[in-house]
Amino acid sequence: MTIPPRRYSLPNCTLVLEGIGSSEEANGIVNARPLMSMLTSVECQLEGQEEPLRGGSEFFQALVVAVSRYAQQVLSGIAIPPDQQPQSQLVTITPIALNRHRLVVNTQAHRQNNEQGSGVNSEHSRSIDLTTVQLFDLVEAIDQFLADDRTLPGLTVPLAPVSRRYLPDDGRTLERTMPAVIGISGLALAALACFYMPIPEVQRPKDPIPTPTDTEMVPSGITPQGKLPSSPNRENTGINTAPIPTVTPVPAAPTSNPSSSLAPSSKDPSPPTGVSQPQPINPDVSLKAPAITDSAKLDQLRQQLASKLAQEWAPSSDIGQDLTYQVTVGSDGAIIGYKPVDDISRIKEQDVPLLNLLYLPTTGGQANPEAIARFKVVFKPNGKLDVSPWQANP
Amino acid sequence: MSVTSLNPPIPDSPAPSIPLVLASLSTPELADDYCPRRARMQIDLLLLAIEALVIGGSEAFLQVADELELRDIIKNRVTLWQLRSTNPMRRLGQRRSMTLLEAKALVAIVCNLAKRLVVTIRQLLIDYQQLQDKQIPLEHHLRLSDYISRFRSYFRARMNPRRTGAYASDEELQQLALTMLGKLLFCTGTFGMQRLWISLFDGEVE
Repeated sequence: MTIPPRRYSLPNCTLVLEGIGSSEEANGIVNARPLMSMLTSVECQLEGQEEPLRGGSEFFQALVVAVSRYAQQVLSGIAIPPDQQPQSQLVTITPIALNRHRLVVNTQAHRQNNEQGSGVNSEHSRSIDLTTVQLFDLVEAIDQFLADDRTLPGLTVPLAPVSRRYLPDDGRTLERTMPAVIGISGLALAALACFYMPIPEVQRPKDPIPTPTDTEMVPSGITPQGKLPSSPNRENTGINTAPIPTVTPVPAAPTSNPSSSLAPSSKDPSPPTGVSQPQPINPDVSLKAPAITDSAKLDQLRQQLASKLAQEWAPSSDIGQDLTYQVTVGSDGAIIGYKPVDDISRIKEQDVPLLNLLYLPTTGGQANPEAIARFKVVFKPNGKLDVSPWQANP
Repeated sequence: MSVTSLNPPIPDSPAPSIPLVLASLSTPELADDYCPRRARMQIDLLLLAIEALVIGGSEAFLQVADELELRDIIKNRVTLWQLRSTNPMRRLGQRRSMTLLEAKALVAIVCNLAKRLVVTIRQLLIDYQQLQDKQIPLEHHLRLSDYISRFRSYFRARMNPRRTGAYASDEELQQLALTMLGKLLFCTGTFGMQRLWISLFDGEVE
């Protein structure tokens, strides 16, 4: 059944669709506008063009898809690459300038596809340049057709966002990876900077943990952590009758607490008189511990000890005569004990750096049994040091 | 007495109903319910173009939100400002993001206002084309140069220059202003709102 042509008219574009209606639909429903179910020909007159674009169903379908797709491209600025576009190349639109768009209708293909050829009069593809406003009118004419559910309701163009895979790699990868690259290189730079920084000196806590033997030297006002005032040793001192405000010795900050001078701090090497010293080392431990016999190891330890003492000893102070000590060294080179061999060495002990270098284990009052080596260390008045294995000079 | 009878069924609380005007905007398949970066930029720039087109444009946004019954989403000036500040180019960026519903509401406002301004938009684009064809500088066209200079100054006042690398010079901002004008024209069409909405997610879906 032939029905009047459908006309969608805009200032720069007039779209005329001619087709036939479906009779049963028209008979069933009382409607002023019969349903156009089949397209026979289409005419698209663009402003400024002498000849309208003409074609059949396939041309129109290609036009609708291309125009709809391009309208989305104008809005988003993202184009599907031409070789990726699924539809036929019958109609293409490409941007040519800020306000210019090129519509190309491939009439060659058009003719092949429409043998009945309603008005194709050119052998070549036809190219029409449109301004944005002209293009918009073409889009709007097609949108009005799409919105008209009485004309070709079967022809629809679903709107869908362009897939990510069509995105050109216009620096997006770089844009995405740059933060990670900057982060990683920043970390590397920081690591490099840390590499050149001096290793922080770890100050071992210098407070000896009181053992039952040295609770007697705890000054009043300081209760060793974990000691109850009622312990028998404290009862002997007679200072536990009143609750004493507990001042916990802070092992990590011995210098900030003046009352912790009981610790053999390097700042205050003078030992309180009558207070037991961490030296000499427990002879039992020394005796029980196996002696290092390997001569190469001994020599290495001897050199280590000599250089350690030489670094610490400032021989400016006048020591008058040779000061001789027996020094016990662990297998790792740490000085774990020493003993003056005569009275003058004992008196002048503070003039030599042995106490400063003494290794004080943190977990108890004495070092764990380990292989040891004994050396004879002689501090000479002329500023020289003499370190020799003890066994050689019994 | 049973426990249930103590608590009579509460009448169905109205589900967060989507305003009628937004019903035609489908929700794209994104990883989450938040607007992608480019979409937030686009929406803010379209609003900026409208402000540059008409004096008092920013007042019109809330007025249109009222008319379209979107005030549940765009509650007040502060909400609007916060949403626009999710544009990553802004000087005062927002930590909060823009939900898809909020983006839909702003898209509806943009398209509604663009339709009211369609005559102006069309005329400016036609005039621009004629000036181009005759090689006349845009400064000779009062209305057009006014729009471009307002767009430029709004842009520079609100955007962080370090985040807007591509839009530094006067020329680049003029191009952007004219591009946004063209986009506004496409927003005025029969399916303008749907097309704008879908275009915001170009390149964001699999």
